[in-house]
Amino acid sequence: MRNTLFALVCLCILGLGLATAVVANGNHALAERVLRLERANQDLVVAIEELDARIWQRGLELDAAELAAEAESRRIAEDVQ
Amino acid sequence: MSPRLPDLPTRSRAGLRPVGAFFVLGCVLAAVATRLVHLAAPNPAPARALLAGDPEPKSLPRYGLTDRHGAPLAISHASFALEASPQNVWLSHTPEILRQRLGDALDLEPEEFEELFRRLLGLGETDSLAVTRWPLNVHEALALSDWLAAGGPAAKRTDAAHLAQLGPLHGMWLDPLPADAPERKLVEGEPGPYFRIAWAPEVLLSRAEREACLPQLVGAKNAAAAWVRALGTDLHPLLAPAMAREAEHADVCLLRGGDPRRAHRNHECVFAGLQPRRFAPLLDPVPSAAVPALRGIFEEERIGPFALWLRGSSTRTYPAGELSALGRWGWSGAEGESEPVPLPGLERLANGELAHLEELSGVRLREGAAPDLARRMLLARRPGLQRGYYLEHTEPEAPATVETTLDLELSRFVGQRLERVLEESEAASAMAVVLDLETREVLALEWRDAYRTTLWSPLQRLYTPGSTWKLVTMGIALEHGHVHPGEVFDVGEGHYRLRNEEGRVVRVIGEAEGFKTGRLTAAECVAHSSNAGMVQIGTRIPPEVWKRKTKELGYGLPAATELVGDFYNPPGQVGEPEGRGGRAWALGRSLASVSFGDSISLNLLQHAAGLAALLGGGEWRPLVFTRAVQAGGARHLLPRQPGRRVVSERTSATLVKMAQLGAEEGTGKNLERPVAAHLGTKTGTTEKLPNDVCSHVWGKAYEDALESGKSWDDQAEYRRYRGKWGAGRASCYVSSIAAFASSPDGSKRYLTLVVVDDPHVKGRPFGSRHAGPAASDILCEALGYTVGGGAPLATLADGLWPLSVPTLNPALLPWLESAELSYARFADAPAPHQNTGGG
Repeated sequence: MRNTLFALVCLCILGLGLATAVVANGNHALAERVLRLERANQDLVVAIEELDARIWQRGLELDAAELAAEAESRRIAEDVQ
Repeated sequence: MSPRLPDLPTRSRAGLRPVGAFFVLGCVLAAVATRLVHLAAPNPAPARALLAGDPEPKSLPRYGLTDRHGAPLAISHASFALEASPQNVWLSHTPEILRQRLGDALDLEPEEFEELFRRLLGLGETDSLAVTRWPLNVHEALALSDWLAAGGPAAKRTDAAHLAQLGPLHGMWLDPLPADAPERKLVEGEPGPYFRIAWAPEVLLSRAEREACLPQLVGAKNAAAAWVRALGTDLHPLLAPAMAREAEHADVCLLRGGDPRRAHRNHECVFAGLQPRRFAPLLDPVPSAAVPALRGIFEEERIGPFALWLRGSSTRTYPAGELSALGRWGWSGAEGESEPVPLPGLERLANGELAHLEELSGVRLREGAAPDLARRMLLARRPGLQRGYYLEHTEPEAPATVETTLDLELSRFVGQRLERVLEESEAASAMAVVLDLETREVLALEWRDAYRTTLWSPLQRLYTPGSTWKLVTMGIALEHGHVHPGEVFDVGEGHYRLRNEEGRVVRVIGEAEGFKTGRLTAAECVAHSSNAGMVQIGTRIPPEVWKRKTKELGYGLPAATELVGDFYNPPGQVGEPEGRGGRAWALGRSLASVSFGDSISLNLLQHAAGLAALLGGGEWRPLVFTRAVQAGGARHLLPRQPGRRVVSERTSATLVKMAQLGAEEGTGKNLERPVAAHLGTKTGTTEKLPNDVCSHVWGKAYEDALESGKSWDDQAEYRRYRGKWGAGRASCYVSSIAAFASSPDGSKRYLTLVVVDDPHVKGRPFGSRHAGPAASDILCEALGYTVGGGAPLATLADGLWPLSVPTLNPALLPWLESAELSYARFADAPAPHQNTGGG
């Protein structure tokens, strides 16, 4: 009886240990997936911010070009008059 | 009674045999515990050792700058920097494979990629690496030479038939040790001559050399690592005496490695000496489009995260172009490795203000997500830890945005207008500042140089103000009751003789721009820029008052220090410096010169702040460049520094009227202006003295020095070039103008100060000719009379065509007040009284 009980306790402890190891490994797999997602997210953030800066740059360049063109057309109109 | 020992059972009553079970259980628990500890270890030992040598990643700040309307002037966005440890990379990789793959992924210009790859190879100026740690004596050199001649690692690892075909090992050789080499200390006393090892990484580590030497490595897994191991293992005994000498002379051992505790990894120890570089910044920023390809290379080529990695960095861009006033970020040493330093300009000012706010609030304002990004990536790429965890976590936050007082459109207009001035006047440089007289906010600050320079001109370029200073003279004289606006002065016929109390002529004062003769009121002296009149007024002011009041106006003191910090910020000087013999402030010297704007050196911002005080109510206040900080979704107004009263409001109002008279009938009368602007001007034309230098001559010489890289000594060059005005020129000039005007509804009053240095175009160098039209155009643009230099287009309503309103031609606007009636004239001022003194 005592042998049986002791064996059961040993098995339980063994099971718990294995379960802990399995959960930890699963946790790792999850963490790896999260990490990959996070990295992809960072790459996207970087790409978006880079794009955003370029859009601002292009927008402001267009503003300047528009003003310059407006001034030029005004000068031409004045010359014609 | 307890049983006696011999009676105790030697076995368990239950018949248990626990040893085996406990052993199994113990093993399981130990395994689980080991795994758990391994998982939880934040920094495995090899990672710690490698981390110790890594320089701290340096990134530019993340805060932004906007103009007064919210348009971005400076943005920092997250980006990646590609960095490497050449030592770790070449321990286990083949150069030509990485050259090919990185070249495809990065898509750079050939020269740019070549430079990047040289850094990855750890090369300096030459195509080979010299091993400085282990100089060899003649015996060691002979042994090494024999090993090289025998085919290097092939000697021990291949058969005689192969060795017979094989020549010497390529890519490594011995050079004589130069007499001045610092490592010569290590071999002193050894039998000479001395040698040092040199090697070419791309040859020695190439696949061709490896496979020719060791055929067993053809197609082998990790062949590159095996090749380096073979090289290092063979070299270690050959270099052992040199390593022992290095350990003895620890004081001259400048590089790390060769740790005897790691002797079991001999090849790594040897390679640390062959390839000492453990950090090489390769590319910053990496184009985001290249990032996935790089990650693919890391994975496919099994490049360890301590060999080649992507670091979270930030890139600073100026979407509106690089405005002069903004400045930029530089580095205290090598780019990416040293401290980022804000160079003079608004970048430096904003960084300082945010640092101060950070101190007060304890909130991060200059950084954003980038450091967090870097930390997470670092955790993810530790060797020995296949999968990463976030051991700590901080929510990313948006960095602050500093709202400046600059107006982007106006700044651009001012910049373009100055370019025109530079072209039309053939000037060496042109500077302009526009500020609000009420708030002292700077709306635009621009300058253009015909020659390459490193100066932050508004503060670092000193000039003599000339007649624009007459407003200062008049302001001080009025304030202290030395003159009345209507007081009449005899200004002579173009040459005024300044006499002392005994009646002796101490100096003859000449006139400049379109001078008036005969008798002028004090107001007309300012309006017509009469040197004779101003000398009579200025010499009434005692030198002590001159010194005190000019200090109160900020002259002779470093201006806007927050914009330049520790960089060069000359305070300038009012009057001749003391100690040159005689009394510097004698009647015929500084007292006379300063009265009409001579013997003074100042910078643009000093003069702008001083004139703004005199024309903007009489109170001196520091110029304002920033308005608010936006952080955490809230907008915080920045505090303004208190001012100090220098002259009364009445004196200020009188000066305004005098300048308006100058614009109406004085030196500024020919300038085009909208009627409603109530323009006021004071022009200035300063002829350079024989002791001065022509900015064209100076600028050209400095540009040549910058381009050729030769040393430059300011004082020696000054002595060399002073008084040399260039071919066929009698002198050089600084033309300037201070002008102010009001908006159509009278709600805003702006001041501009335009300075044109050394206009060389033929004709008179007067301020009204070179700087005047630009000042008028700039004020019209700033106050909304023009848009982009032309008449503004008024949009009536959606869907209707805009209508052009020609505001600049009063004849077309009959409903406006006529020009003659729109000015407050000094002729209507209280009756003047005759001047009887002053010569």
